Amino acid sequence: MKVIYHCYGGTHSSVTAAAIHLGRLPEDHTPGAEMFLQIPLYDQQEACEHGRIFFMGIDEYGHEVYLTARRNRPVILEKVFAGLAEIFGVPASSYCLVNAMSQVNWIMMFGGFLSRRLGLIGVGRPIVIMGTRVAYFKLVKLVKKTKENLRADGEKSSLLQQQPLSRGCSGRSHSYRPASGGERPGCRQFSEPAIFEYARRRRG
Amino acid sequence: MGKDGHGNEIYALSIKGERGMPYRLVESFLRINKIPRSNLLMVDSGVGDNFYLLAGRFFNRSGFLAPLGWFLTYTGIKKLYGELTRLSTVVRDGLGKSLD
Repeated sequence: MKVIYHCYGGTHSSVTAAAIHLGRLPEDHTPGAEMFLQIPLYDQQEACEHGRIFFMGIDEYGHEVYLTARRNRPVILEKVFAGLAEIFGVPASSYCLVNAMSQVNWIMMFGGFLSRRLGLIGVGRPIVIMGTRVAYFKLVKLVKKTKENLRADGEKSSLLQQQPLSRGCSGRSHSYRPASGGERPGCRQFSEPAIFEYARRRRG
Repeated sequence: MGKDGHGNEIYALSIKGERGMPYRLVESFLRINKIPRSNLLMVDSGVGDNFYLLAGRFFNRSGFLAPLGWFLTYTGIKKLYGELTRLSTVVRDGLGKSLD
């Protein structure tokens, strides 16, 4: 299972949630500023990288943990994933999108804006770290809930031998699981050429 | 949307004002699922949108001015049609040559 935490800029809440998930941050107490700064990608990602999915590690159950930025368009992420999974026959049960934005407070938003958007890292970073510390246990709760859901899904899958999972919910909810109706096994039969992006020729 | 003469499946995707992010998302999706990039061709057909199309899109949203929006959209598509045809021909020919 691929677990993908997503938030606006992929720099604070999703990074922190992914780090908690992987055990790089403690679940029982709020870490200090230096621990946040040791996490790769914390307060690092630039706007030109939004949409790129970064691999963070593999958790104790073998789930691959990723994170991404999707600005204020979670629906684009969810629909792109659902659409491509349907086209390429990727099983709906193979990934889980977790919205970390729901745990973000205004301190994080303000600090993140100063640090990432305005480039005032010296001012913004301490503020965003303070905001992350305030929201820390909400993120821990989100991660625990995600792990519980993953465990329940795993147990259900092993019991029911990979029967389709229940329909997920999209939008502003904590996590999104695509509908299993979109699965099209045997659909991966493309033999087309390699042109990924078409640079359009302008007239004249 | 359907299949072309070479059996390629054709899809449409609305990206709603975001140009770069959907490309990176698609690339990342292919990468994490180990799907070869050659299995997908993304063609940006929105780069030539003209004033009529943009205005039509705006008026389409407002209730009583929607007919004006439809007219502007129709005019915009008519003006852009030649270019869209050329674009799809170039893409289709490119796919055909590679398959041959």
